[in-house]
Amino acid sequence: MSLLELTDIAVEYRPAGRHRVRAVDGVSLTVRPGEIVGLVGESGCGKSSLARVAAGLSAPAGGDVRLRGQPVTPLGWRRRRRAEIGLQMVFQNPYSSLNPRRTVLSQLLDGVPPDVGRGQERERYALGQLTRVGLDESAATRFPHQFSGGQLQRIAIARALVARPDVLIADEPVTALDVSSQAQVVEVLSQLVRQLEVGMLFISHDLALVRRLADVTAVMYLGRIVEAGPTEQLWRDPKHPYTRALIEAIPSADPDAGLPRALAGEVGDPAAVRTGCRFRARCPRAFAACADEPELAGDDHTVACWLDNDDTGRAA
Amino acid sequence: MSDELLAVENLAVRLPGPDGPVPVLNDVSLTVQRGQIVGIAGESGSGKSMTARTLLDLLPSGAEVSGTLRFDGAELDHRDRKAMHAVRGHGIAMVFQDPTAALHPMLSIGRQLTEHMRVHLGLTRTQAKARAIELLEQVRLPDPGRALRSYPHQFSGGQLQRIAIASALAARPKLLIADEPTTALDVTVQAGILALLDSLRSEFGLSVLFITHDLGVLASLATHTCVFQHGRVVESAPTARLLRSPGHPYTRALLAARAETAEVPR
Repeated sequence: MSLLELTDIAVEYRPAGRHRVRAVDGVSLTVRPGEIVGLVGESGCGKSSLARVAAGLSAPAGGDVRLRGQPVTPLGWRRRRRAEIGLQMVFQNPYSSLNPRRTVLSQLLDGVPPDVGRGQERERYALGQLTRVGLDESAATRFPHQFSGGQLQRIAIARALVARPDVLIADEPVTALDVSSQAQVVEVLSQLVRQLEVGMLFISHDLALVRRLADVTAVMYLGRIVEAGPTEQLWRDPKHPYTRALIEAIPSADPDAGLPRALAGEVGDPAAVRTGCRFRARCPRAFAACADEPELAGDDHTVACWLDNDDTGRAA
Repeated sequence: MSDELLAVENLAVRLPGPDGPVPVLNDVSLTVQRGQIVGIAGESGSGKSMTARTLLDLLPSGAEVSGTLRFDGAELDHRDRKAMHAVRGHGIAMVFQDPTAALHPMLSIGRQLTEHMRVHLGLTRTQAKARAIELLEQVRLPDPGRALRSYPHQFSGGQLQRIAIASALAARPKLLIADEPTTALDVTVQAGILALLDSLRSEFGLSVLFITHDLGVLASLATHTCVFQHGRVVESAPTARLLRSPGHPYTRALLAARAETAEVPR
């Protein structure tokens, strides 16, 4: 059974005096319990817009979000329904997602569900989550400025956990951290997903990090998913030229590997009217068929590229 | 003329703290040859940015500096303000991590690129504009003429970093200090900036001190790499040798932390 289901999501912005921008254009994703779905792409591809919709923080222009089959309605000035509290988000910057003037414990207590009990029990429960992310209980009485970035991000994760989430949505949770604290936070997240059987949508521009963590990887380019599949398969046998370009751009610690290969051009303007394959302008292997937009095709490992389509592949 | 451009010997820096001076750099030594890219790797707080700031005398007030800094055959003396002023920009220029913070959002690129050239190099308006276009071509920014009339928000992060590099190169510095110049960028864009720095080195003989937390970035770029930890150089070796047979446990830990090779226990 799928836990979180995004169907044909579209997100639009209307900047003043400019054309409508379709930041996300028909994206479908599912997250199952105990599964980590990684979403990668360059900045400006619509990852964070999708994350906000998935977490119910903003309304999609089209499509719907379902948590355990129930539709998630975007958050307005109302209190969240109990079921929707199951969607929790971990943000990129723990320095701004935690309140600098309140102790860690008081912020954790905010999220404790009412059925946990009162007073002492709630406190014990909150402290339990703190130890779960590998921090000492003594951290509870301290303030955010007394911690390092990696510790703060673990507190932010504990804050998401006290609400007993079904799904965690992590939008670039380790981008602001050092490599060694990145490794720790990634490890904490991965263990929690396995232990607690929660699902996780892990959004990052770092393909290598997603490879390490995610069971399924989806690659997004200009508002669309261009390739998705089991992580190892996608990494070993990338089918879309964009996925290949992303992998080739990762610097290797092998001194003989040479400089990483740069992909020509920049992510296009999402406001531009587009025909055909979105990646066409930067694609090293574009050909005539790319004037039509390819659909995501395939069973387990899906790809939206004419090169992978046997009929057109032969025709070219 | 010797090949040595920059030599740092036994550099120590102490910053004032609430309980007396706090040592932030200890016995740091490194050299950069002409036309060479040298990498400094380490995590935040390891002293890598402090080293860069010391070279340009951008330390907080009250900092105590000891040791010798030699640049281009002469000793860098922080007390000699006039000499330091001549070194900044002409001798050593710097590119920072966040290009959106390095450029003024409300001034056109043209104004920001030509202002310091007119002041420091004494160029006329037309000369400065021609030089700015030449610089933007060197950093491979498309349509330089139009770029000069545009504002920072009209560019992507990668393009802004190219502009920041162009601005740093304006006075033809001999050494460019790049402090995590690609950390805020996408991998695809990062690859482009690395290629750019490498070509500036081979075409113009630019020396670069490249500061990063990612050893992988240095693998094919830097000839020599120094690994910093707790304000000390814990390992310093030719990059290829350092990556193939890291001698210090911290270097090994940095390599292991790279997501590429590590596996998460399941």
